Amino acid sequence: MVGLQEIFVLKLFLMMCGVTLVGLLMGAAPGLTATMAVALLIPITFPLSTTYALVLTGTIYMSAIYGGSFSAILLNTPGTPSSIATCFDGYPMAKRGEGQRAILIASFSSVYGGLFGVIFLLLLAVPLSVIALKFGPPEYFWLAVLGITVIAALSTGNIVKGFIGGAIGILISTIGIAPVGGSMRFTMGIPNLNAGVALIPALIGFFCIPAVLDMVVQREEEIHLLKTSKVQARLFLETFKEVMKKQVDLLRASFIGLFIGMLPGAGGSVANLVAYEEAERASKHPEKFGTGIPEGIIASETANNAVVGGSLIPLLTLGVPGSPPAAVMYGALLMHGVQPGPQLFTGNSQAVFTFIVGLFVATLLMLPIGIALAGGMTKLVSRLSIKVLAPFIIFLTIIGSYSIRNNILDVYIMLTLGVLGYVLKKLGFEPGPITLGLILGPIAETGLIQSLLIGGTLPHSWMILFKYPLSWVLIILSITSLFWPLFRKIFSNKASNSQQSPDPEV
Amino acid sequence: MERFNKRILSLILVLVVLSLSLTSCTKKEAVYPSTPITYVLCFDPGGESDITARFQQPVLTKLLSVPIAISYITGGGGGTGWSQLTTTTPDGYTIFGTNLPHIIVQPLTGNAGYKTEQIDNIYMFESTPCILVVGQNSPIRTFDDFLKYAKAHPGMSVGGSGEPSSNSLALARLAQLSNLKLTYVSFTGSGTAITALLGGHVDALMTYTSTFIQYKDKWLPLAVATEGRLGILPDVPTFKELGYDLVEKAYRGVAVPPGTPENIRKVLEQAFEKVNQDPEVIKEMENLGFIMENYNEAQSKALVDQLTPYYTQLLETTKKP
Amino acid sequence: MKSNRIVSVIFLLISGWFWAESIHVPYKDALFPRLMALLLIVLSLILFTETFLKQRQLVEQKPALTRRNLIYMILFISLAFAWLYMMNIFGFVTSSIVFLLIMTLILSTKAMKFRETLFTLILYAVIVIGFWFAFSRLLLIPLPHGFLI
Repeated sequence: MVGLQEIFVLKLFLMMCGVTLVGLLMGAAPGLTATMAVALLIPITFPLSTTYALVLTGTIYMSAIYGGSFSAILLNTPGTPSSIATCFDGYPMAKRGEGQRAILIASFSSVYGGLFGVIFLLLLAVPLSVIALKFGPPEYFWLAVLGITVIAALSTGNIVKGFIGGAIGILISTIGIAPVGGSMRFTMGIPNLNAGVALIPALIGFFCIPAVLDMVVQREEEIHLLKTSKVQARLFLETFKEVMKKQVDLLRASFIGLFIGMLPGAGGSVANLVAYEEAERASKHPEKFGTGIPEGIIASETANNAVVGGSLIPLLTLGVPGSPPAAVMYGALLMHGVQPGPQLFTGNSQAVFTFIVGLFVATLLMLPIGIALAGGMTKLVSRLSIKVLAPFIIFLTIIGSYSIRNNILDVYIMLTLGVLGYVLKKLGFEPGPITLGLILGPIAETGLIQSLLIGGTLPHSWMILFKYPLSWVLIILSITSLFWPLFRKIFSNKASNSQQSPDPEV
Repeated sequence: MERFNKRILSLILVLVVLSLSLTSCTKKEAVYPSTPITYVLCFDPGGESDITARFQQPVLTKLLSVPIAISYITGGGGGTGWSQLTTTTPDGYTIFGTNLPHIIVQPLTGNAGYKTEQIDNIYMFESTPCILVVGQNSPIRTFDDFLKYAKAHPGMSVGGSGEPSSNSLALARLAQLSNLKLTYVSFTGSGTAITALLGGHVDALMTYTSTFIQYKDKWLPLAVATEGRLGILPDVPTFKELGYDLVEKAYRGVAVPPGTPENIRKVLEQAFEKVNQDPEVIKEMENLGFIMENYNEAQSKALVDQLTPYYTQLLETTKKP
Repeated sequence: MKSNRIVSVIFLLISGWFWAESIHVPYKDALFPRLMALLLIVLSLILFTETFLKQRQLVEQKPALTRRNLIYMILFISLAFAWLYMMNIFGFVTSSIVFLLIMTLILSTKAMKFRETLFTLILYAVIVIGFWFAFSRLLLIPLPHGFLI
């Protein structure tokens, strides 16, 4: 097959290595996203042949998503929105001195999820795209609701506070232009707020700044952030076996990532959080999530890399991108004269096949490069003292927030939300639910208002939300998800009836 | 010892600052352009504006002999970028992609952060007319069927990209002219609007010809909003010939901040004029359903002046409570 | 917890603000924010009433924030804001080098020797200029500019 031969050309292979490295770095840098990485590559790949361009673009997409885990683990800042949930268990693990282990877990998970997504892209793209089409506005609304009920499980503390955080996040997301109607809302007269509160500055602010402030408090302790203890090769094998043992977790997260990736309008940022929650729900020791357990990292990183393959399904079969980086790839495809869409799989199947194979190779490739890079980063970060690390992190956050929209206001917002996030954290409001609200708010609102508009022909427009069977599936899932903590408590109380423990004092 | 250190330190800082300020003096010389030009797009990568710019980029780079760097300032339906345009240094090294009718209607519907007059359009290079389509399996087969269906189902859903946008205004005008109750459902970007029609979640779509071309095997075109029939779609009737005075196109162009010197504007105008005549560019654009337009600076201004009263009136008369 | 009570009142006020502000927008764009504001009101009330009910003492004795640490945090954040402000005046590179150094000096527990300070300064200069070069020349992503670079 001509396509395969093209992949195993040394020149392309070397380019893929280079691109993988760039992708990892961009993904790791808080504020630089996978979308930017893909966009960056477009002019560079323009003069190349279509095959090369496609393969390289796919490579940077996959590696950037993986790279986001590095800063999530080392700096408690998601390098891309797809790695938010990786912070929850990655950073605590790193603080314990197990940074290397966390990175290895993230690496294996990313590769697993990535391969999973690509395989499904190869084999089942067309039937899966049919399912994706069944999702209309009502389904998107209920999907967002399902996502929001995740908060119930995410909240390790007070559930009410978790939901309040989510509501706050949603309200903040309404600032700016309304997604459906287009009117300007809640901008308080500040013209730069017309565009709303951008997600990335908010992410960086909520996750990174409180961590930095904690560092400031700890400046007198000679805490070097991470200690690498074990011998390299042994750790590698041990962790590999450890991760591979958890096939159920891996598969669950992969399916979630694949599925959410397939839906245009929901991408990696949603997938990693939903996968995390689902893992927590299915776990026998849910209270351990958030303390630094491998399952948390596995869930998040497997899902977000499965999104890559998933998001390419609607792109290649329907011409509709399943995620923002996929949208950029769409532009890249068009520029090379490849028309993504219904005709693609039938007409241009050779190019598509080569592309998918290239993506497969790229996913495997990022393992050695990623581990090497991350190992270097971990050693570097652990050797720096706080007085250098803290200012440098601020430096990165400024660059990151600014490069989103070239808007200095975004950086101010980032710092302000950072301070706010710190205060809220001390009061018991975790950043996870708030960012979840920020992400899902627009999806929920768009789905709701669009549904109501479409349902205008029904006797009562709200009826459309309950009309379709697919909506009901999601509604039932949402209710289950919402009341799961309650079920679990009742269930576990029944099981351990004999033990009447006094009120726990922590 | 402490104080001594601090003094040396401040001396060093001063030296650093001085040396850096010297290096930044080497910026812009007389001949324009001499350093890279930033081409700012106000919409997300992968969209129509992005694709257009990417096609233009290599030709522009050759013509102007400097690299053209594409960057994005997204948000507010383009408004964030355009409001930043008004405060950008008018030295010709940052140009912005613009869209009609957006830059006319956005200031009219609220505080967009800029005024239409502040946007100095150097060139309008392409347009995508609006086209009304339905799915292949729809009971509606012709525009006449559409009218009948709309009468039987008041409030039928017609999707489109953005609001206010060319799509939404076209539908508003159609509703006005035909006295029908049509519900516009706005989708962000063309992507989700496409799946909405493919999945049968909306009854019809008021979209752009560039979108339709990609799905012409799956969709049925009912009418197109141009003056005369299009070469690429000879079998599609225009709204005009069907008796509805609806002409609606989304134009794309490029603009500079207010106050840009004349010589710079001329250089850019001529560059874009040449780009628009490049046969490669023309071929790529027309293949994707874009229509080449050629409005130079003066003509662009005239176009804006001509369209503004139309949109002002349309918005007034279709204002909802 | 007393703080919960204050916080819930604040959130009540915030939801009220959103509700009030949504008067200015047409119905379909006001619906969702209002729903969410309503949700927040309900949740805040729940939180408020929670503070009165006999609850388990979920007291996590987190290490209290000393006054000294608080001052350091405020100082640090103020420096960050000042850094931003300076960036638009003096340019990205200059402000970054200066403020990185200032922050490091503030955070150092034992006063830094001259040699170490110098070394750090040079290191920062190299890193910042490196980033500047990578971003504005290679990636062509603009960084804030002032009258210096």
